[in-house]
Amino acid sequence: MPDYELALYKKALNEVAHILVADADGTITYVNDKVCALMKYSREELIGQNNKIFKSGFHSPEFYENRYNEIIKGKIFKTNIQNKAKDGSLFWMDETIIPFLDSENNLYKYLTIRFDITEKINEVAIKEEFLANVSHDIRTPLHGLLSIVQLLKETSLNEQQLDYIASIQESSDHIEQLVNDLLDIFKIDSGKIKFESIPLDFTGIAQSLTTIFALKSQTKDIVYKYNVDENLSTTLLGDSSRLKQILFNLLENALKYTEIGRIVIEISLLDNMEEKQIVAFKINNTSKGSLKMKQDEAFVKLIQSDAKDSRLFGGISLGLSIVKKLILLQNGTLSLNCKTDEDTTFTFTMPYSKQLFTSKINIESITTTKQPANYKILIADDDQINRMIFEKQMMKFKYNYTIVESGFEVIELLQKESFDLILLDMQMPGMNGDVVLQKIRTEFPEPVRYIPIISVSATIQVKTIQYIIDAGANAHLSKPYKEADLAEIIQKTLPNSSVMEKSEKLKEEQNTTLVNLNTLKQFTDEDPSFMLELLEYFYSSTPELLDKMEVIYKSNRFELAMLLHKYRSQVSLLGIEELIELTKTMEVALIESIVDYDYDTSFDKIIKISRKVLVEVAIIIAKIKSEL
Amino acid sequence: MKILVIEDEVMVLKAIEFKLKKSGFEVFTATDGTLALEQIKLQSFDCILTDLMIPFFSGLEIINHVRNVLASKTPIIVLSAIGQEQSIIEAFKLGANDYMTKPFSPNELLIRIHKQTMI
Repeated sequence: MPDYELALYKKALNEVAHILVADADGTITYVNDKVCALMKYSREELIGQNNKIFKSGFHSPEFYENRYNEIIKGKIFKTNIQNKAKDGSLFWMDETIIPFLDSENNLYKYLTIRFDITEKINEVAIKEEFLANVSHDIRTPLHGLLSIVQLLKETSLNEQQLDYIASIQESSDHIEQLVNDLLDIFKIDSGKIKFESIPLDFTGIAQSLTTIFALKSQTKDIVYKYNVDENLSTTLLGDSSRLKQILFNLLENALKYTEIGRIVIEISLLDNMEEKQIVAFKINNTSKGSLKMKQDEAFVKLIQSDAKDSRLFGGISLGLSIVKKLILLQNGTLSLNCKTDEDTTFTFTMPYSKQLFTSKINIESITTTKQPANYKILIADDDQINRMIFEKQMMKFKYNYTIVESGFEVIELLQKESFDLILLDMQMPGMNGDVVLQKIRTEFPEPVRYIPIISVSATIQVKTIQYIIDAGANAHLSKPYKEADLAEIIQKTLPNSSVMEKSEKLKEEQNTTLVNLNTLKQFTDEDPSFMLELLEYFYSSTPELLDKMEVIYKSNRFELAMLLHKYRSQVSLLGIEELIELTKTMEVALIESIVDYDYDTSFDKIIKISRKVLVEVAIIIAKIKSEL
Repeated sequence: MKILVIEDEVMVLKAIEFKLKKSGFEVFTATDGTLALEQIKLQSFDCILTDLMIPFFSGLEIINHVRNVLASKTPIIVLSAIGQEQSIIEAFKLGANDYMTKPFSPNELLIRIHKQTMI
């Protein structure tokens, strides 16, 4: 290329782009005029400086680390980055870094080409807000609609009407899904999405998905199977809910085009590396009398198209473009293999990191089986036979249990007795399961209000199950179920420590004495009648003081501080360390108006401990009196 | 030896009074600033023990009155609580002789009183 042409290219590039050259360590050796103009530095100010000078503080250290790790390998790196100008103004730049390696493959300098995309980014923010508003605006009436449908279902309707209602519900679900998908796509496209890193339970995910889909496709003749490779590490970390979302969308797609056939999920280990495992997910779909192909063609196109292309393809749901984006963003790959029209396999791979710093304790506590004998389960079912089956199962599992026949009995019993878990049948005459659920979740005091509840019903509609879960059930079990499923769901839902264990702990706590009479003994030279006088004074005056504190708690912080101070003198004499400390910190917090002090919790503790102290003091008084 | 104990917390006051009486002191008590000042005007004491947070007049005002109004050199021991470090400094500036932080041991209190009254 002749020199003048090269010069022309250079000129053209300098017209449009912000160009910077730096040494391997980031020392700037060249900047063009556009960089100086936008960043408001003179060339002299920049040459010799480190590239860090533009850091805005927006990105995490990992962001820079990741960027550096790529270019040191000689890879061209593209990203959006926020830069800070000399006057503090911020700019969003589309950045491409081209590294230069020497003959030994060591980075010796790099060139960055940046474009100012600040305006575009701002537009994105506006668009995001708009989308969030619109989706909210769509969802609000949609929820209204769904609640009315729910009410309508409870009126007496004929079969045809029920059918129409089911259609309304289905369409509404679809709208809701679309809104969610749109939001998701937007989030992904604008780089807003963050991936979690939590232990992945592949079997659990595959199992729950096949259950859901088996329910969804009851009218079709489809067999679901799953297979999870045993060589997969059980401690891989990744984004579990996003993985579920990907699989869900793919299964839904498979389901859409299958009437009779088989859908198999296969999860296997593809590559085992020191720090990560590459996991392959295959969804094989064999169907007789296929309805698809056209869709598959479009799907292939979608897979093969540029990663950034967010155009939608005819017949392809938003769900599938989400799938693609989610996989690529997590550095996965995807492919579609159509053996025949009837046999297609969608494969995607994901690199999941191994849990390197495993906290053994955590894992053990998750996998430890909870001892059934420690737990008390309440079961409610109106059906005689079901109750009998439950009884047999509970005996077999060795749980302590109580079985009742109605929702009323559940409510009544919960007021008198503590349980660790409730198995609640949803369809009971008199008081339906969802009403019981709601009553427990709203009308009961803690901790009963948060008791784990497993709803049991013959419902197979995903929507209804979702409704139950939304109403406050911790898990749902559909009838008919396998015994193993019941055992597992109970184990999963039970709290780590049972009511019995807790009450023992509480007893222990109550047995440890709060009052330490050493100081009082010193003051009184162990004169019993004088000790008695002081203790009786404390016993008679403290309730009034506590009442007074409670009355002014919200209204007069200064007086409260004074009262706490006074009270501290008393409790000091009785050696109640916990109260001395609490009253002290709270008094200081009140006087210094410390904002982030948890006043409510501390005051609550002060009152609670004081009540316990009073009981103790009463016992001590009685004891001294008996010895006089 | 006459001691005035100014303390609004009856239980603490009683405990101190008991201990001091048993140790042979003649103990006078006041549960608020007004009563304390009345006593101080009526008679002189060998030592004054005062809490800082008392109704009507604060412990600091009592110290100020004794030192600057009455120009008396009666030893004053401040009975303070944890977290009142700033007030203790103020008390010393005004002329307090010693301080004790509640909860304190009664025997230590006796030692401190002896120390102040010996001078």
